[in-house]
Amino acid sequence: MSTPNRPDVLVGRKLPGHSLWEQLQSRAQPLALEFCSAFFNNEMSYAQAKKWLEGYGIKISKTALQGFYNSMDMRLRFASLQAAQSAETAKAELPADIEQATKDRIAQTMFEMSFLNLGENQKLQLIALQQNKEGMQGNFVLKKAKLDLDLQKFLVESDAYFSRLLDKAKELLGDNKLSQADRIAALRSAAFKDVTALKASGKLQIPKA
Amino acid sequence: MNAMQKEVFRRAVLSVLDANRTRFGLGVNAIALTLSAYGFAKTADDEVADALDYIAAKNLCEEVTKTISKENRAWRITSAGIAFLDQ
Repeated sequence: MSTPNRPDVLVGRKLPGHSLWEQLQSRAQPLALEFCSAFFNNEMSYAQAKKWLEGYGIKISKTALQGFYNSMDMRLRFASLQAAQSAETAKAELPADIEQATKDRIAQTMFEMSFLNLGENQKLQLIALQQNKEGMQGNFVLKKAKLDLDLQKFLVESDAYFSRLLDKAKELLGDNKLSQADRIAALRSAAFKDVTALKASGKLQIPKA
Repeated sequence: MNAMQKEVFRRAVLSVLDANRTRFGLGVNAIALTLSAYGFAKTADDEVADALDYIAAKNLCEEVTKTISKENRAWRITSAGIAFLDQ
């Protein structure tokens, strides 16, 4: 195990941007999702974000806003909300005759896969920002390759789990026209449809080395 | 790991759980990968599982659903865990 290189994150609770997150949460979840989606994906400048928040009665300094933008913790919170929304949507679209416990397990797996995917994207964005500041572009390629490999390993393991769940679902449903591979593809497509749509929209700026 | 390192590591695991306030839980794999954002780049799944068991025994986190298979377990933070981080 490596030594933590960000001990500041691990000590105490008052993380940068925490108060803004609390304020967003005290209003409505869609509001937090809407703001974070635009702000973290660079569709809003600091000035625009400040103005947008003021429209909802949230007053915040530019320094606090910068802290929020640069906080991995806040980005992970955003990723978990997005992943949960994606899992709930996909769960609602599952066939009605699958038992509730199986649906829950499928939604749980979808949540974890989406969380990892979205969380890694946020992590990459922060690394790219950091590398730009430090002028060390070369190192970014290595970090991205490492993150991609870790994520791939996780997805392979999740696929095996998914496969077992689907066997169970198939058992319950009896004979079905769809092959297992098609079902996995359909479920994965449902789990990541938000991400796919976002990528297709061209709004998502994935950092390039 | 000495006592202090264990404490920091467990707090990092709890911080990952804290970042997820949804009704879903996070599995060992997902937590181990996310820990790199908190400064722990290379973490074995077993270390994470041990930390989770310890934290759960202190009622700072809980298993989302009890499953028979070890690899399918998932955890989320409890209100006691949130209060602990708030201290």
